[in-house]
Amino acid sequence: MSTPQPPKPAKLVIGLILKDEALLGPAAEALEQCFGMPDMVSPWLSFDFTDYYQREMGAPLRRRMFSFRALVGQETLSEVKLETNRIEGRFLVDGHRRVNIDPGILTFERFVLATGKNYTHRIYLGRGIFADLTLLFSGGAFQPLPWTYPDYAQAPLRGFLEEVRRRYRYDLKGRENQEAGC
Amino acid sequence: MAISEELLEILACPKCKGDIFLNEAGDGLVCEHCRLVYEIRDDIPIMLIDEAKPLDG
Ligand SMILES: [Zn+2]
Repeated sequence: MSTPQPPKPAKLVIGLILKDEALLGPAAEALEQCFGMPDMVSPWLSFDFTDYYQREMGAPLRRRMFSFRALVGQETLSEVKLETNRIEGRFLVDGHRRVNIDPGILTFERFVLATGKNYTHRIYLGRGIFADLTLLFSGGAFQPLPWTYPDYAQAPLRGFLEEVRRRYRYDLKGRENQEAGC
Repeated sequence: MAISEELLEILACPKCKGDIFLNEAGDGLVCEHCRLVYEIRDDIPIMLIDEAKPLDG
């Protein structure tokens, strides 16, 4: 029998999708108030893979990725998602989201996104939130799976996450980290 | 130089979220707008506002 052990804390990675670039500052500030300072920020990445978001949020949509300095317990992903849902709620206009926020946790082995939607490959975390195994780390790179969202399967985003993973190794090696959270 | 130009395509300044570029020595990422240099240590860019150095320092 194996003795249960808590896993290492994870890197918190949050993706923002928005149309109005002027909302980036306020949205980033809201995330920073909750989760602390980012330690990696991506440039604008194009986001044109689904019209599901475009119907609600308009077009063209663009994406930004953030990773945060403070590591988080892997079991906190559902709480993080509920918190980012609350932040999304602050940017609603006429019931439409203007900012879509996708939190995930990155470890050496994988990148897992949180979602409120059930699906065959998703695992329930509690509190209405499921885990989506989005990328596996194998052969020196993050690898997509058959169900991976197309933009997470693409080079710029995977490259960003691989850089975050290098940073994660550095964090675990050399630093004490406080837990993030509100 | 271990830090590739690719890094510049996947990273932005954490303060102003604007473009950054590699400095001449290849040991820092520069944000002109914020006048800050983010050091690269052990091939890891330290993209932390409170650890960045002033560009004119
Ligand atoms: Zn800047």
